[in-house]
Amino acid sequence: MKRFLLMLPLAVLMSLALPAGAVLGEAAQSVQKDQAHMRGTLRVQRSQAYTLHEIRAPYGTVVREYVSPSSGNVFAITWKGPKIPDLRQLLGHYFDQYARAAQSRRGHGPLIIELPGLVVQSAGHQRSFSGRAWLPQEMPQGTRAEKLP
Amino acid sequence: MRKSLLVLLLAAFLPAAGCGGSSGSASGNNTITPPTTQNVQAVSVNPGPTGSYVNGLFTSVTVCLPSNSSDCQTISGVLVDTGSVGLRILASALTLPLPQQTNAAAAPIAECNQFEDGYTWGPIKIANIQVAGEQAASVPVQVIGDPAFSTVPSGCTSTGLTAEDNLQTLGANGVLGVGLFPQDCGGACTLTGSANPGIYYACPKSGCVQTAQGMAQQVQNPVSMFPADNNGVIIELPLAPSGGALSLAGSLVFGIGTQANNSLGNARVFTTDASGNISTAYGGHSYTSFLDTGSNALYFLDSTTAGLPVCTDASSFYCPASSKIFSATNQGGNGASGAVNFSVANADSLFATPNSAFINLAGPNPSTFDWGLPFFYGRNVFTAIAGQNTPGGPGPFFAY
Repeated sequence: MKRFLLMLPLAVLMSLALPAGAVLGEAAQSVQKDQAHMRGTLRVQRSQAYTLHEIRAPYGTVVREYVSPSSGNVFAITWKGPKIPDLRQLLGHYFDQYARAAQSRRGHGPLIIELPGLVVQSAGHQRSFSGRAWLPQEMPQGTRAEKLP
Repeated sequence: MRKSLLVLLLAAFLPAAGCGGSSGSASGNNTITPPTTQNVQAVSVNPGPTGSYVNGLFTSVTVCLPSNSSDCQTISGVLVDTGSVGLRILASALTLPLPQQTNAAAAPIAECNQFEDGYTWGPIKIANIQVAGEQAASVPVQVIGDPAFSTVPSGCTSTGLTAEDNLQTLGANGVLGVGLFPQDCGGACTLTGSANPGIYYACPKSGCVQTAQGMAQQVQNPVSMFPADNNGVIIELPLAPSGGALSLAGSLVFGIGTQANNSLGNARVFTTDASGNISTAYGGHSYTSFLDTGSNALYFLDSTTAGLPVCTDASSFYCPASSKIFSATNQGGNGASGAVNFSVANADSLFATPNSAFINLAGPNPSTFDWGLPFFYGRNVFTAIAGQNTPGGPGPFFAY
């Protein structure tokens, strides 16, 4: 709680510096919606290939959203922490097709969904989950989703 | 080897202990009376209550009313899971009227529990639990798919995971989580406000809302609530032949170094991090990893990196034209390391047999190594509970 308050001014500054928020496939502005939804702190890091928006939820899960400099849209999201985050929020309008595919998987293990235009991988166990979702057609050239930090 | 040793020890000690009754005679017709606490529960890899589970480890668990421990029900077809903590029972398999856990305002408590590939939603109830000769009193357990809690909060469905709330989706009548921790959530769930992950819910008549839940009120590892043999478990399973086995019989042994039949022996201890992970090195990279009887295959790497095509009809599994051999190295937080050699066969060919136990069933998992049940075939694997002492040091750790 205390940390959240301390970090808030920084988060506000950062978000002001952004073109504005991020949900998968949507503009960078949508990051702010996610940040507000997770009540998290935000850190932004720019590189040549993409801009990384890292949201740290107070309960410990870290979500990273990757924005393409050419489209200005979120092309990939990763998460890691004690609980799987709200993917309905983070995947936006991709959520329904992901959830449909998730229902039809076989086996008892990690969730690996590969659809035309959407890949979602989710693994882990109680207290420790990780995953990533990306739009293959939106990946900046030379960037591989498996290699995103 | 271990079992014959135990028999010898018992044979030597029982007459002296005087608890063998008339069987303690020297007639050579001795019957073996169990030790102080019988700590071995029979487990079996079989198709489970749906008849279609592959690489599922099942056992029976007896639950009793806390108010009357002679009023009991034995539930079969319960999945044994080292990757989770706590007993969870399908409402459809439960006939005993277990009492509901409530908070200070008398509101019922429920939980949204996340597994790797699904979630379980339902109320927390209190049960006495009996497994083998071990008993745990007044244990918070979860009842799944309870019609009295049919409205699932949106915070619980928002992961997109499958609701594992009936026999078909869970594949078992329940899950016995005997993993690395005393509680399923831990300290985070005791916090208030946004620092709480929002796993427990208080459900007054107006609807369920996320709530803080004390450590002792969370769903507990039944093992850590046993009076003895409470520092962990061993899963003992034989090897399965490369073509699979119809079923495998093994043991779930309670306690580590507490009785003659559960010493660590030559097993190597791999301490885990605070989240229950070790690491696995493969091809110059290090991956987060864990040992999980509740995962039904060896889930590792992506298809390209592994050089294994996924099956055309089931992308959760690998389908190489011929079996392929791998070697990876497990590493504990304590610096212990050891190679794991394994082989991957064509899942479609395995599934075409009537077998249910496959040592070489594998599937993709690009960022972690999930050592599922096949890892346990032919090994005795120890799971030590966090905060408990063992002859190999305090938990949490895996050892094998």
